[in-house]
Amino acid sequence: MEVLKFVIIYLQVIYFSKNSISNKDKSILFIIGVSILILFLPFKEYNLFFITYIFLVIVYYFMFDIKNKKFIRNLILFYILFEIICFLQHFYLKITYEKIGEIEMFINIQSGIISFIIISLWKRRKEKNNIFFCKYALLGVAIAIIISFNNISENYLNYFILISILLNLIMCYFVILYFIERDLTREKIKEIESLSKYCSSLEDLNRNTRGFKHDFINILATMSEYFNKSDFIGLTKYFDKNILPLGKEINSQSLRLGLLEKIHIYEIKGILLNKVIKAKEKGINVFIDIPDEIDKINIDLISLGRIIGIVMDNAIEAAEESTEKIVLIGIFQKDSGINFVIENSFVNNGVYLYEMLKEGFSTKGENRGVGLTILSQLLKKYDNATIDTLIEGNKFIQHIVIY
Amino acid sequence: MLKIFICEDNNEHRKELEKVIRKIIIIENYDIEMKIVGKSPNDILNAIDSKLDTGIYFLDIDLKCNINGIELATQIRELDPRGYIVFITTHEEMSFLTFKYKVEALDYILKDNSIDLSNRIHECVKEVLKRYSISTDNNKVFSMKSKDKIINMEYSEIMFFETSQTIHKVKLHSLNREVEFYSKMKDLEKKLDENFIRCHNSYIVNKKNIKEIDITNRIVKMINGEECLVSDRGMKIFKNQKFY
Repeated sequence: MEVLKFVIIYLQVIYFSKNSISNKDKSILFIIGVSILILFLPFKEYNLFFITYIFLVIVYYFMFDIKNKKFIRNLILFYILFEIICFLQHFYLKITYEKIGEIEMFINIQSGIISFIIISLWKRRKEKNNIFFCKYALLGVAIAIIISFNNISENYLNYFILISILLNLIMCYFVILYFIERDLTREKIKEIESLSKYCSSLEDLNRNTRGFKHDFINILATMSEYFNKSDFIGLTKYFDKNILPLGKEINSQSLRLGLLEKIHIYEIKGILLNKVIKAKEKGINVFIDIPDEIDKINIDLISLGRIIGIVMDNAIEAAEESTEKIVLIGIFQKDSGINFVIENSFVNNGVYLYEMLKEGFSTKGENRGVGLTILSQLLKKYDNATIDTLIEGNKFIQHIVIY
Repeated sequence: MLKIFICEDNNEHRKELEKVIRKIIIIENYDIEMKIVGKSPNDILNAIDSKLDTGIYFLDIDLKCNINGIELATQIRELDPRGYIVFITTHEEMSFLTFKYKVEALDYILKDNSIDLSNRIHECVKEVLKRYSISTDNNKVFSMKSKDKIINMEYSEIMFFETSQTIHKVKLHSLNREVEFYSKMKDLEKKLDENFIRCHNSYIVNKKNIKEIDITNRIVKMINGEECLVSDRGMKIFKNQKFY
């Protein structure tokens, strides 16, 4: 029974600490934890479990160099929470504080589920949809608790336990469904926002073109006047003064946004557009180069979106600090893979590339600089993606290929 | 021997280009031959002899026929993978990144600026000769083909190779570059010479760029400060090679 308790608490701790420790460490921790506990199993007294647990916490602290205090704190807090819920259940079930076979297991599982929900709630307390989630989850918790609070005679206890567990599982199922739906909705909303931004950019472009056509006709008309009068000196002056500058202006304004139409994946088109506009607003010159039509890609779109987002954000941030302020984006197909190349100007302080890619590195002070690290973590998951990062003078280049 | 191919549909531009290039070859006495000066892509493609030629291709982007300069370049690459491609283009059509990464062109030259044309062409030819001489010296350059990507790097610049967490991906670390490619460590070991030591299951290190070996912590420090792990076997190899 201790093992079950332990397993439940540990799974929760590991689940909620998933950002701070790697998978390998987790499994090692888990195995060592269970082994130590089993060592002490023959002694079924309650107090010994507590001592063993504290012992484990101390062992981890010294052995694994886990600098993340959250993990230790979680271990302790989750355990306390679990024990409180267990105790409450015992209390309301009006069963004496002795271990009785199946009920104990049921109580442990129940406590696990309830504490999981409470901790999830706590973690998400700052989210906008929180109220919705709260109602949903609290309802589930309430049902579970109410059912357990009923005092039923021992004959029916087994069935009642089964039903209770079943109801718990159903409740969990709905909670999970909720999360999935919420994520899907978020994605849809993002997509719609992207598309509408894209639309307004196109409208701007359209307006510019109309304006240009109008000016062009005027210029032609003026020029024909000069021709009629055979005034070539005047014509030359007019040309130098009015027409040449226009040519330069057109070139500089040309964002080559139109090339984005070659990307037939809406989510990507939207994200790229957002980032290009964001860069333009910061006074950065963006050059887009997309020669091929891109129809599909062998990676899930949410991850791809994050990858592109991170790379672009980094490029924009670095370019902003530089004097040249330029970002170049290239997307093309090369044989079996889709290539993304992002070049940006940056201030080359002589820092080595590997230092720049390390977690926590940033020219902007503490607590920044996780972007490039998250990027490599994201890409590590995929067998069919490679990344090539290089520095050429004051250009920082990232070349990602997805096969 | 290097051979020059020109593809430009505009007659005047084409003649101008040919004139400039011939002049450069004669004045500098380069060992380069003018092979084809053509109007259409097929003139060029039909003239390439895959086995004999390494070519320098001067291509116009806007060829006014059914394939443009970039597609032509892609086809040329298939016939002559080590060829050097230079695009002649106008300001408007510039596709820097496509040139550089998709086609792996050497450079591009702007048509609009005719004064500079001769100088730019000369620069390109010089760069080609420089790269050509390095590439024929197999001892200097590490060349790896991974799917459709070719990675070239001088051996002296390589710090070490590291396995990624996913299988079959290896990462090359140099001072200014980190590039992933598909390969097995074993195959790499065979390909590299004795300057590269497999000091750990996950690391192959370039002897020449080691700064120091930390025996107690089993770490190798490279000249840029990056660290690699060393296994027991690795330590033995270092000892045998009298690193400490």
